[in-house]
Amino acid sequence: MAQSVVKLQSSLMREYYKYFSKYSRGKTPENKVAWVTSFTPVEILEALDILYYYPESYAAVIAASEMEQGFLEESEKHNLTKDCCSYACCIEGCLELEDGPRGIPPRPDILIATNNQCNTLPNWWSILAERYNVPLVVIDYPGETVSEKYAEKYVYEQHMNLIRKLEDLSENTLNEKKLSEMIENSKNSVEAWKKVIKYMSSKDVSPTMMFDAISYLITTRCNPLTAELYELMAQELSEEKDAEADKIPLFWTGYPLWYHEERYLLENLRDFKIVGSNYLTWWNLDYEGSDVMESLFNAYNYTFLNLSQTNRNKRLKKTIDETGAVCTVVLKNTSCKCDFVSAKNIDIPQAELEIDMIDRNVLDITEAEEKIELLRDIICSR
Amino acid sequence: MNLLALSSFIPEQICDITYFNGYRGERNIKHYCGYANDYISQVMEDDSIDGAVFPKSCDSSRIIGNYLESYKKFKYQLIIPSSNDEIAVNFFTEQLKSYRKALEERFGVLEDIATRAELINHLNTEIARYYESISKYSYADYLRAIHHKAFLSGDPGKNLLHEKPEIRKRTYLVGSTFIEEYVAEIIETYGLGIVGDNLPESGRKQGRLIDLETEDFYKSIAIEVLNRKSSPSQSRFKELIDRDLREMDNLQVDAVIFVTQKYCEPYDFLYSVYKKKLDEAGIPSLNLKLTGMDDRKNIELEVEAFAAII
Repeated sequence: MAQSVVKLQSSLMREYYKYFSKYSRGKTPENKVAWVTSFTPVEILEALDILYYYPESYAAVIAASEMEQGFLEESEKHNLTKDCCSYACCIEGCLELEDGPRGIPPRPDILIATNNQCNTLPNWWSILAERYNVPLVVIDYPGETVSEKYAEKYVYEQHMNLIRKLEDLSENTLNEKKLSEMIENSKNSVEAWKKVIKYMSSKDVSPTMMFDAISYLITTRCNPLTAELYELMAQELSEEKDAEADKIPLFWTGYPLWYHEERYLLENLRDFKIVGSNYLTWWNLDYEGSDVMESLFNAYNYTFLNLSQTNRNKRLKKTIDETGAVCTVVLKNTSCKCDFVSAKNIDIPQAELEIDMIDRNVLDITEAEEKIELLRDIICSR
Repeated sequence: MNLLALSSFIPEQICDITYFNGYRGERNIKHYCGYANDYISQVMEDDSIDGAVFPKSCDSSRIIGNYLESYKKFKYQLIIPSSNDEIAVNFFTEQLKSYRKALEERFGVLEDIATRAELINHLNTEIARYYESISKYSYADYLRAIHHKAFLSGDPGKNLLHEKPEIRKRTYLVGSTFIEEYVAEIIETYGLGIVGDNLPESGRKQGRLIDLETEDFYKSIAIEVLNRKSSPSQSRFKELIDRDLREMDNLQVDAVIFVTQKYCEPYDFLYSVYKKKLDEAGIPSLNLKLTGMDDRKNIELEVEAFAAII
């Protein structure tokens, strides 16, 4: 990849991590700090000049740095069972030991959790609230459980409540024009990302690169450099050589294995080509709307994990069909029962593997190899 | 109409429901709360059940609908707001109206809400009356009376609740679900006397009555549900723990027992903070995790060992 992609990535990462303890040299941010969950309407925080950090994303970095086991053990010593989400256990251990590959994030002034991904994250944020003794705001996103009219009203009121609290905290006043600009930036980041992942099936590209590259869409989608990065990546990918035709197209249903060097089981899937993953589409948020509030409602209320099973089935099927995958590896993630149920109605041959996205000790590699072998036999015998 | 309700978040005033408190089912979804597992099983397997009503309050309850989607029985999910402010109350009020409407469309005319509210007020008043002096009675009998709705039909004290000698190992029970009576029996067998709890069917309902003169029963019910002693799934950990600790102080509690399901994330997260507070207060605690199978032997061993140190 050209230098400019690397430069953009470095610039985004440098900006994001600059107040982590490893780099900050004791300097604390001048702006207020929020810790947020992955599907928080961060456009509001950007518009109020509030810094925000994603503990979940940092857990992935910790696992990639091979440091997760020590932190998981430490959190268990403090009575947080390993049955809980391993993102939480990993970060709690990191905070107890005040250690990590990039140190620890700057102390929060406020915690914001949402339940449009799962109901576990608000529970985790509750123990963070105890640790830091700071306000906790939980935003309920009803999804498709109630009529759109009531859902929109409820979400609107909660967003306005959040804005009031953040205005008090930051002593800034929300500028709607800036909010609109941030939403536009996020939209552009999503559209550019869609161009990138489109090449996963047709070009000889590494799934590892895709799994790592989505981190910008998660953590810095409001930054215009993110769309610029993805546009550049898409352009370069368009010039890559075509994918080998003799590999079996496979869909990766579930999380990347953050602890794995390649983020997936490369060594066991050499005659397969990963042509797509639902995880890579989760942040393709739909910001459509006639005003900023409607945009935020559509984007954050209808996240994939907040959809009904019927609509999840439809969306997942469409995604798989578009990739041309003939089979799938379904990851039964011990830390995320909300994701696993998405794969209930996939109708292509599958190998179901029990894994954890952070804890490398969960996967039974022998069993995984056998299941993949069986999948290979099924496909090859057709 | 026989509706099986998972959790006390489902209000009894809207229609008559049966609260789920145990079933040995066929389904066994790995790494999934056993309580929710068995609930799904009962809805699927028990022909006497006409429908399922469940909350969206934790990851296990959140996806119950996904597993029941192909079943033709009545299904309804209520989103339980984390907050109890006016925004949350108004939203929950609208949900309760929609819930009632869905029931009427499926099952026809239902009992008048005002009548049911009065009935449930009576039930909760009776439960509260016995809760006030629970240390005088067998806690297992008290739970049995609640689960079998004995408080609805007169004073169960004479026939169901047996007095016991003054207890010395005063124990507070923290629980995630309607616990099975055998668990309470085991606890009492080993000399631990339960003097208070924050169980959904008992302590969490204390003092919660509907204003029968209200013009909006749905709103009054919404306020009642959201203003109970909170569940950890409502993310109000500090409020929950502080309230329990005050009650424990008043009751002069010697020990605390957590009774939760394995893979119950709200209580697993709560426990990590709750335990720390209990340790600071010098109150020993036991974390009993039920696995959905026959846990009796393990529970007996754990409770016996715990009772010995109190």
